[in-house]
Amino acid sequence: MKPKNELQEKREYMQEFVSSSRELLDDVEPQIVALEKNAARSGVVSDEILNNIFRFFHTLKGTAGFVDLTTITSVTHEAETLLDLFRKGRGALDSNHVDLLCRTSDFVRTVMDTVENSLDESPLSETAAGIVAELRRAIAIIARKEGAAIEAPPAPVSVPEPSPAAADGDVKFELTSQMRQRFSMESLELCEEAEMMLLAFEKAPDNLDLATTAFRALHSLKGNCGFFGYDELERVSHMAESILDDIRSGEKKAEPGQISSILSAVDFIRNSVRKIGENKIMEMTSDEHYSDNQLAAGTDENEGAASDDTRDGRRTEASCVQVRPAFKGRDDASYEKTGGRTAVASDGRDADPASKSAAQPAIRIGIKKLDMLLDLVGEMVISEAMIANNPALKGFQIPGLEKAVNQLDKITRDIQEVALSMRMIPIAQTFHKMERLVRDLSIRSGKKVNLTITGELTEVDKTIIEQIADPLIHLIRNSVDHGLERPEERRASGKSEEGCVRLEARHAAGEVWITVGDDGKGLDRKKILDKAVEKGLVSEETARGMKDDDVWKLIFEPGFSTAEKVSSISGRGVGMDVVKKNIEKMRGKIDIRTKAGQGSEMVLRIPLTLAIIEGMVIRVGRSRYTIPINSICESLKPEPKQITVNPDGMEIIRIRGELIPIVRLHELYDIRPDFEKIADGLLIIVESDGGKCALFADELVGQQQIVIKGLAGYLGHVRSVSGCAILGDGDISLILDIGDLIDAVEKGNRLHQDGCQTKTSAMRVRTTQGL
Amino acid sequence: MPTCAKQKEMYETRRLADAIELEEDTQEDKFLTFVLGDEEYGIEIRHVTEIICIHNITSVPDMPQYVRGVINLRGKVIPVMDVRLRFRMTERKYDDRTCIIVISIAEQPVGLIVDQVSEVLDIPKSEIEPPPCVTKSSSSLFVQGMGKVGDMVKIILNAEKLAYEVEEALKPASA
Repeated sequence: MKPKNELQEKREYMQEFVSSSRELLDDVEPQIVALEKNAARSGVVSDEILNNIFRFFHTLKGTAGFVDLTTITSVTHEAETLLDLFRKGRGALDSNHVDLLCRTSDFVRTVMDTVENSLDESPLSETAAGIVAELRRAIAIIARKEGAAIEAPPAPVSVPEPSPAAADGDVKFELTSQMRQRFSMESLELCEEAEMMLLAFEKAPDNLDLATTAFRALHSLKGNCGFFGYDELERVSHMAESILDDIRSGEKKAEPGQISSILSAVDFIRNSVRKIGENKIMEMTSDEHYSDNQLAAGTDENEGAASDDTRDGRRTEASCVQVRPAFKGRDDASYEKTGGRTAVASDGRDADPASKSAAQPAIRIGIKKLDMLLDLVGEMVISEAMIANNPALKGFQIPGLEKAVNQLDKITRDIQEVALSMRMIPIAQTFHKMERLVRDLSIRSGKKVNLTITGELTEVDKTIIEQIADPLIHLIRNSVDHGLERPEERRASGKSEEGCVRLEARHAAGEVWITVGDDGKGLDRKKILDKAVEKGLVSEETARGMKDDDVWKLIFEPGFSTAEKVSSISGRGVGMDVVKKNIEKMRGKIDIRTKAGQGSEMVLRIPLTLAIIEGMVIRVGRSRYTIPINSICESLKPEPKQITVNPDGMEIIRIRGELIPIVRLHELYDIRPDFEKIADGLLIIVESDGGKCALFADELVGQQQIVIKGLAGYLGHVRSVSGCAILGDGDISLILDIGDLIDAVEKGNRLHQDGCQTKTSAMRVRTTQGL
Repeated sequence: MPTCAKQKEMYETRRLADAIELEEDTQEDKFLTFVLGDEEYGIEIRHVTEIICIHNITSVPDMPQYVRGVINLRGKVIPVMDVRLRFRMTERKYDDRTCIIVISIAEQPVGLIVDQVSEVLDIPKSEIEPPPCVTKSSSSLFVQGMGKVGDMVKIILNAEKLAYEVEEALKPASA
């Protein structure tokens, strides 16, 4: 094969390895944290969790060995050895060990990031050696304490050996139902692919490419099964794979029976995998297995012996919990029930509520396709409205038409709703990442913290999930660092030593509310105000009369920080303003609730989806603009006497004692309006961030739900425009970015003047970038 | 004989490459021609995704004059430019022959407003001459060549430049 292809193949393997390992890593990290909690609370570590983590490192070692990542095999090997000691009860686990394990999993992650990009892990070998050394030290300490000499750990780059798990024979590895479903889904796809290729190959035995593709599918299948510890499945796929390997390399001709026996093996795997996906966990007796006579017959003697060897090797391991479905009433020649006893044991230990709910089959779709569907659905809604309101139909009494149109209307709306809901995914993964964060924070700050998570199944728009993680990290940091008191302070004020941080998500009022709360000391009004005055954010007299809510809002000011000293975690005064910016980018708001001595709570209120907003359409001349409804305060027909003109030409309107600058949209955007005189048109008072301004427009067109679209990248950034919306008649209206507009007004920027000057230069910059 | 698979693979690769070339071949010498004023222009057909009649255009502020704004093409918002204005020709009222040629460059669709679309022509490479360098007209920047069809000459435009080139020569009088 050409080297390029080899590289390609390697990249594919690596990708597969990285993506599945990452998922496992995501699952196992919370468990490591749980392990520590467990140990701290009761002094006893749960065997179950320990075994899970052990098993994780073990499988990771195995798969990493398969893709030749020696750094991972070496560190995971040591981690495994260490964990094994705990499992056997030969040492007490403390937070140092957990720290070490966390670092190990971090390292694994780094390696995966690196190899994903460059396929080269060598730059990391030093770090690996460091971690290996530390792990060994930890092992040695335990061994010394024990007084017994522990054999020198094997060379770091050893090929995975038969796992201690096999020897122990009592390891119970529990997969979460999510993992099982994911595994099942992927494997079913692979089965499907293998089967299709095999069938095609049978028809066209000369086309070895088909056999190769089938081989690859089976090979990945084998990897997956092994990864998840379904040894029996791994063995079957391995055998099928070896037969195919001979065929595809052209060494052997496919014999007539061989394809069918491989196919039946695929059937076997498919059935088992499907059962796994349905959460029917079945115990298996080790003497019952898929007959390999037929498959073995296809391979030559050596091969047969080899697969027998593997089989025996696996058999020993098979005494660890085996997941295997029962085959009932299948008399197919390819199934041979030697034992004939099928024990169906529902998994009693599986208390995970999610697993109890019926497994929902899922398919994966590219986000691009989804967006396209959304676009088209949006268009359909518009076309539907165009038909329903077609002026040609007005005045006619067509029997049944109205009913039909109503029906159509209902269906299109339903379709739109469904299409939108497809972008929603549970926030669980983002939340679980925070467990690790809280753990690290608590160690660094020396405070005991307990994180509780509720509502993790709340569904949120995918784009929000991507953007919410950073603000959440900031808020949680703040809670732990500023909110929670040190343990001695807590004891003094009659609270339990362990601080509590809450992370909660729920749907409310068409929004998603994500709450980060703590039971710490709460915000300190005096401290905040002192700081604000010191920084010149407010004057001393306004400070005295400020409402509590306004005081709390001060913490979002850029450069504000009340922490007496800057710690490594937070307190530099960057953060809260960034949090606020990020949330506002999602058109969300932050509510602060706090009680001195009892804690504080930040509620992030974010619209359910970023794709649709409620907007007010206004008209200026022939152009229509959309203003997000939540930034509109009021609209009015002004009296001439309400308006004052500054010496520099700025018009200001006085409403109930408040002075608000007027922005003439037609001047801002250089269009011809219906009205030039303010008293003829309409003023819309908009607000953002406490700032206000009055937009001068010809009239209000109406309020509607609009689907937001980005302005074509070709056009670059347009002043004070955040995107565009497609109106009911199919026309496009620009959505005004009120925050940006008010900022510009507040800066005293004479928009219409320098707008004309910057126009050409902005264009120039953009077009060069465009190439 | 493990070489069999190798050969097979090489053969497949070659065949695929041939097929792609072939497909490009069929588009190679084809040009969509359109009318602006008295002249006919052509652009390579591979850039063209569709031709639509004139739409309602929403103007966008801060754009050079020739970027007329954006249109809604089946739920997609795409920018449109008036090629006449791009060439600094006089503005002309849009009528029912006015068309928007949607071209796609680097996956970015752009609409070109032209007076009218004529036809798709085969102009072999041998019939295309390099553009004369003497012209001072603003459109010369975008000209890729002059295509001879019978006794007519079509001005072949470079679509990429048309969409993206910053016209040093076209900058406002100050330049």
